[in-house]
Amino acid sequence: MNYCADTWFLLKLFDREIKAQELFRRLETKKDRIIVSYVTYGETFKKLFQRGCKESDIESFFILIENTNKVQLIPFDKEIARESAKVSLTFHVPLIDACVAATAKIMACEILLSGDSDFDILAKRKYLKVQSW
Amino acid sequence: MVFSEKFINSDNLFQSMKIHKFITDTIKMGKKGQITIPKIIRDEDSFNEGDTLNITNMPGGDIILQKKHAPTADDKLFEFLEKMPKINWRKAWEEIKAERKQEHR
Repeated sequence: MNYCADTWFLLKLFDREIKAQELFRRLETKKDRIIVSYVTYGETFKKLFQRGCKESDIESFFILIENTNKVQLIPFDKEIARESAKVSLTFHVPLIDACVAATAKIMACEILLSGDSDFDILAKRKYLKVQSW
Repeated sequence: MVFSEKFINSDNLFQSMKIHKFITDTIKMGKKGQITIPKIIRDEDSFNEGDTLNITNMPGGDIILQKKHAPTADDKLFEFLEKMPKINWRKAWEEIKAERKQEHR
């Protein structure tokens, strides 16, 4: 199963939220993976930094999640940028949401892990499935 | 010996029961309580000289020997996160949602 994680999931994981940890532990390295867009990476980095985390700790967090081989960081490229523009215009969602959704779509993720209600319209129109709790 | 809650709650015991052959044998205790784990079990579970084992005395007198595994990448991640200050993810997420909406306007 391919998941795409929004900043929502990474913040929960960092804050040791039980369900986020359970989902992460359940993933099997050869079958499952979590895609994280560079946009999500940047947004999470900024928010953790704003909330007083040390830069070295935030870097360690991302290194450690990548070391599990369950997480893959995806650079923002032209294809994702084009898709993001279309998503933003079609569904009238903020560009950052659109970048996350476009990354999920292009990387063939079955589920987007996000608690952002802006994604409801995308799920309703079957652009992608969203899981939150 | 104090019971380890981590051990009792873990799925490790049940997982290993599913994966490995069920082997039973009789061994004799030597001087100073020394015992030898039969070769068939050492081979089955890849026990090697110098390995560290956890020993647990169960209620009823059964004793469980468990190979101590090196921490996984998941273990290292969660061990690291235990040391991190709480950030109040709900508040952080609310801030992000507001920032995204603001940029959209």
